[in-house]
Order: sequence, then structure tokens, then C-alpha cells
Amino acid sequence: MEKEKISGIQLFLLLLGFLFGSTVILGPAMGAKNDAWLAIILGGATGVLLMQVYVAISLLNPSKALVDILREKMGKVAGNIIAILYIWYFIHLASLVLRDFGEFICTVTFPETPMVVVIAIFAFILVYAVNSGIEVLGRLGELLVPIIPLVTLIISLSIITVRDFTAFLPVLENGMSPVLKAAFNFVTFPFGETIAFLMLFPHLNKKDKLKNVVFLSAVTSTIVVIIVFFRDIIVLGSDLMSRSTFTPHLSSLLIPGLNIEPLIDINLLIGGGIKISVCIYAAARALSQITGIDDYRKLTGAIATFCVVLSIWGFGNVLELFIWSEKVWPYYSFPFQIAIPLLLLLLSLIKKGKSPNAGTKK
Amino acid sequence: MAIVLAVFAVLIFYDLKEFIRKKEPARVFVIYFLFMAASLAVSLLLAAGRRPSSPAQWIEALLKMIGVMQ
Amino acid sequence: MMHRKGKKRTGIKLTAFLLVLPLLLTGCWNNRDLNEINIVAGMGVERTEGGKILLTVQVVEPAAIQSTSSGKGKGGSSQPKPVFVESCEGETVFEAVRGMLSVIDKKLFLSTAQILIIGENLSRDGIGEILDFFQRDHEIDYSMEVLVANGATPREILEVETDMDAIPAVYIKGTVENTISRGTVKKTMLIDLIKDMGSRGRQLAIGQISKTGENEIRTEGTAVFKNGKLVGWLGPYETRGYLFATNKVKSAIVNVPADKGKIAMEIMRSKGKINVTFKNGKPAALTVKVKVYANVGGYEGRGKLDPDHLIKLEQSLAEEVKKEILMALEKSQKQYSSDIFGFGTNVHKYHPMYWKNAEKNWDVIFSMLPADVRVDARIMRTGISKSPVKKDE
Repeated sequence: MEKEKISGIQLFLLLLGFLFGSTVILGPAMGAKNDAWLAIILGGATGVLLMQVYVAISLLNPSKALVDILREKMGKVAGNIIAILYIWYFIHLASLVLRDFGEFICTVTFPETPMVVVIAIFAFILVYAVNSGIEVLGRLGELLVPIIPLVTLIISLSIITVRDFTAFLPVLENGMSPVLKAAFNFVTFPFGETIAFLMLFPHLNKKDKLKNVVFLSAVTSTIVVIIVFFRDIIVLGSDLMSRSTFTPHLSSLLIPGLNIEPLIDINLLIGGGIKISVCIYAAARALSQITGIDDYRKLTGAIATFCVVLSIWGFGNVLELFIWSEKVWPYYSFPFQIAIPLLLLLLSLIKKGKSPNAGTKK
Repeated sequence: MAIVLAVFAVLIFYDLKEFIRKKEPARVFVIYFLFMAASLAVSLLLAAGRRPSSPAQWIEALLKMIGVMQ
Repeated sequence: MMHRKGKKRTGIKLTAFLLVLPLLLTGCWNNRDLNEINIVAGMGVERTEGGKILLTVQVVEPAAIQSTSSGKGKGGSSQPKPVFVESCEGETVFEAVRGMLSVIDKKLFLSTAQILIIGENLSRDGIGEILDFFQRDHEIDYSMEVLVANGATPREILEVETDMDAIPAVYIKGTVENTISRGTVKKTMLIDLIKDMGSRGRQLAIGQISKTGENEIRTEGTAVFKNGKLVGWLGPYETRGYLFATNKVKSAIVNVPADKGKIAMEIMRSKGKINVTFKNGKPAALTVKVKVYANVGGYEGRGKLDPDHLIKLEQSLAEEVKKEILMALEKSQKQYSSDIFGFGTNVHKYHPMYWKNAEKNWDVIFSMLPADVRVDARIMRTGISKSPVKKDE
């Protein structure tokens, strides 16, 4: 049993912050250009379903985190190997988000600050947050995450004067396949990434709330992303939108009379910060469970250091990062986000049927 | 280069002090140094201006090998 | 004992923390104070005869502005000028921006630039390449006004010294902003250009600026581009027709001939909509629908205002607006074959299938299509006078 507990609303906000993560600066599903809204709806719906799969896994294995579930359902050896792969995946995810963050800040806000400095300082703060424990993270989410939709709303309302409401036309100019592709990308980024939350679900104080909390957060984030998309396309037009590196930032620049682009930075700090913290937490936690170390806090420093190095190591430049995220990430994530969880769900259902009280120690 | 070494020295010194004080089991040290050594090695290579091929590229190559991507 | 030790540790930690705090006070990595930068108010880009980019900047001297505004009228030729203008050549815009540092002392701060004046030669060669710098650089304000210089180089325009405002760039920006209440120059923000640059459905049209006197400039008319290259100009009235059609007129004065003299009508509101009508899967006509609401502003002639007359007046106002729109259409279709109105965008949105094949030679298709312009005019108020000052003879 987990000693630390977070409430339903805290989990909801943490999930929301996680889902916004780097989506708030990248604008997902842009591959579909004008039809991105369609891709967002499709991907959002699939994402909601996928997250319910994670919920089902967690509910079928009450008060067990991902590593325990893996070991129990797949046997100790296979379970451990897959768990180690997951740890790698979480670390990699954290490093990708760190890199997104670094690229954004270094492109937009501090162009002459070396990226590694930006990333390292950010990571340092996040290690502190993670070491403070999941309850603190939960409260942090409660305090900060509501700012993200608020800022989005402020920006959207401020530029409502610059308008071309038919900009999203024509519908399906290039057929369905780019839409489906973008929808798949949107499922794997960000919805599938919430697999990391399988390490957090056991902390929820009321299990019966889990389903609704997860459902609501997925739906809310889809709605916000759609709003952001329509705002961006109305303001920028599809051509410029697909050309720009950080779309929401560009539209925030167009607010007449005042300059509130730092608000986008704040969004990223909050969303990205929560996402990275959750990933580092999940990785450290999983690693400590596998190796039988009593406290995950001993490993956060090392893992975070590795994340920072990996984020710099990973890509030569921002274009490599974007192309990789768009082309490779969905396929790379597929086993972690979809295949293994589905397998786990299946195994959980079978074992549940066999012996309802099957419980192992640890 | 010197800065990288200095940063790592400070980090490791700080953590080790805690570990030794609390008399941690050996596996903590092993895992800790696994991560730190990997980070340090890569950082030194990066600082020297020689970027080793990254995990992102390995994964891409792997996926291409399996045939998921073209 | 333990307790005291703990306290001591907190003390050390606190001191360390407090010592680290001042590090944050140094601010950004590349922090530059106000007196270490040159505040740019306006920029101009032109192509030299050698094919290089000639960048001109107008830089504000904050100290001088202070003294001119307080010490005005006292005469005194020792007053420093509030702005100075410098030029520098380079192969690219960015090189010119940096090269500027060889003639001026401090780094240029571009975020404050309010106008960008593009020279005629450069415009004729194409502005696509230089726009990329302005799109990419993180310091550029996307809402800066862009104008094309006609008959003068950007440097000549930026060197204008006006009495109306200490900073000429602000003065120029002001005259462009007035376009809302006169409708004879196209207000173009940088972002509009960036948006339409890559589009085939709408060609670029940028406001025009010319020098009318030693220290006077005039922003009137529109520069028409085709595929990023300047092809010609629209006069003030054609510009207004163009703006009526594209729904960009907020207010304007239109003169309507009356039986004896002229009546100045003040357009209070105007709504314009363009469309392309299709017949059998092919574009049949360009339609422009404009609705204007006007007040009678001045009656310079003889006669009386009565209901019958008002209806006639409405018709002739509509006729007048229609004439201007047709003038603009005629010129952009026949003379320049450049779709500055954005009819192509309309086709793209509502007939994507047709657009796919037509996109390449839309210019040709556009210039062949007949135009159908419908203007509906309403007169709302006639002012506080029933009949003109002059009496019938």
C-alpha cells in the first residue's frame, strides 16, 4: 500500500498538466494542416479510450503500480525486463520534454543562453519537486495547472479581433490519410504517454473516482487543444500555421497592443514541469522497486542528470527533434503505450477470472 | 570540459556524502554510478565536440530494420 | 545536542541560499541595459545597383527627445537631433543588420521598429527572400507596418524631418493608421505579408508611401505584387475600391455628383464580401457585394434634400462606390493579372477539387473572369442642416 495519497482533483489536474505538457507550445496534429481539428477529435476519442485501458489495468490490480503488475502477470524475469524497458521509456520521454522546453526557451525567450544551462536549471528545480514527494506534486498541480487553460482563454479572447472564421476550409483537401496519421500521432503524444501514471494511480485516495477523473481530464484537454487549434488557424491561416515552429507562441505575438508571450512560457513551465516530474518520478520509483531500494529519492538525482545529458545528446538541432518526434516517436511508443498495456489488460482479465483473490506479496 | 567535470564532481560529492552517512547498500552505489558514469562519459564526449550516435538514432535504425518505418 | 546541530545546519543552508540569490539579479544571460542599445524606430530595405541589400535604420535618441519636447521654441541649433539615420550594405538582411555595427556604436534593438519601408527596386526583384529574415528573427514585432516606397529610396523617406512628431517613424505609422478613416492606403502589417506570402490564392498588396516635399511624406495608394514581385500601383481611389471589396473600409469620404455641384458622403460603415460563382464546375464570375451606410457630410451645390432626392442620392453613391471597385478590379485583372482580392482563396476553400488543377494558372483564369459588382448604399443621417448654404437662384 502507498502511504502518500493524492485527492481526485489533484490527480485530475496533474493529468491535465501532463497532457498539456509540450502540447501547449507545439500544437499537435499539425501534420493534417486544415483538417487537424478532425484529427484532434479522432485522436482525442481514441486517447480517452486508451486511458480507460490504463484505468482498467489499475482497477484490476488494486494498489499496485506498473512494475508490480508487470512482474505479477508476466513472471519475474520477463516482467523485470519489460519494466526496465519502461524505465528507459520514461527517462527518454522526460528528456524529450526537457529538450522541447529547452528549444522553445532558447528560440524564443533567451536566444543567447546555452540550452544546457536552461535545461539543467529547470531539471534541478524539478528534482527538488520530485524529491518532495507525490503529495507535494499533487498540490503543485492544484496550484498551478488551472493557470494553463486560463492563459489559453485569455490569449484566445485577446485575438478574437483578428479573424478569418472560414480559415479551416476546405475540409479533407488531401483525403483522409494525413488525418488518420495525425490522429495516431495525437494518440501517442500526449495521451499514450500517460502510461507513466500507472505508477501514480495507486496513490489516489478514492479508487472509485479514478475512472471519472481520467475520463474528464482527457476530454478537457482535447477540448482545450481544439480551441487552441481554431484560434491558431483563425489568426494565422493554415499556411503560416503549418510553417511556424511554435504555433501558439506565434499567435500570442499577434495580440494587438500588448505583449503577453511570456504567458506561453509560463504554460510550458507548468505543463512541461509536471510532465517531466511525473516521468522522473515514475522512472525513479520503478527502478527502486525493481532493485529493491527502499526510497526512490536516492535515484532521482542520477536519473535527472542522465535525462539532462540525454536531452542534449539526443538531437543535433531542433529540426531533427521535430522530425524524429513526428516520424519515429509514434512507432517507438506503440509497444509501450498500446501493445503492452493491452496485453496486460488481457492477462489481468484472465487471472481475475481464475482467482479473484490472487495476490502476491510485494 | 572543466565545467562539466566540476559540475559532476559537485553532484557526485553531494550525493555520496548522503549515501555514506546513511550507510546505503551496495546496489544503490552501483545503480547510482551506472547512471552517473554514462552521463559523464556522454557529456565529456559532447563537450569535446564529438557527438556519439544517440539512442534516438538507434531506435530509428532499429525500427527501420524491423520494417515498421521505411 | 542534535537539535543545536540541526539549527546550525539550517543556518549554513540559509546563508548559502541567500548568497546564491544575488546571482539571479544579474538577469538574463545577454542582458543589455537601455543605454547600451540603439532603439530602432523604423527600417528600410532596398536593393543597390550591385544587387546587394541596403538596410537603413532610423534610431531614436531618448535623451534628445526629452530635450526637444521640453526645449521647443527656444531656438538653439545645438539641440541634438531626436533620431539619426544610418545605412549599411550586405549580401543578406542579417549581414546588413550586423554590418551596421561598424558605423554605429551600440547594438540595434529591432523589437521597437514600427515601420518597414521596402524600396521599389527590391520590390521589383521580389521580396520573398528578405521577408524570411523578418519572419524568423525573434526580435521582430509582427504588427509593424510595411510600406513600399514609390519614387524615393527608403533612406530618403526615413530622413524626413517632420514638425508633427519628433520621431518620423511614429509620424509615418500615424498616417497609415488613419487609413481606417480615409480608406485610400492599404494598411499592411508584417504578419499579413507573412501569411499571404506563400499563398497562390491571394497576391500581396502593400501600402504605398511617397515623398511629396522636402519634409513631407504621403501614404496613399497600394503597391500590387505578383508572386512576390512588384508589378504596379493602385491610385488612391482604386485602393479604396479594393478596400471596399475586401471589407477593410471603416470610414471614408465619397464625393457624389449632385445636380448642381457635389455632395460629400461620409461612409459610416461598410461591409464587403467577395465570392466566385461557379457554373458547371467552372468559375463563371467574380462577385463583389458591398453594403455601405453613409451620412451626408457636405452639400457643395444647390438643391434641397428631400426623400426622393435621398433615394437618388443612395443610388448615385452606390454607383460611385461601384465605379471605384470596378476600377480596382479592372486594373488588377487586365493590367496586372494579380489576384490581390483573394478570390483564389475563396475558390480554394469552397471548391478544393477545382482549385487543385487551377492553382497553377489561377492568374490567367482570374484575369479572364467577368466581374459582377453589387453595391447597396443607405443614407442614415443628413446632418443638422436641411438645405445647403447657397440658395437657389
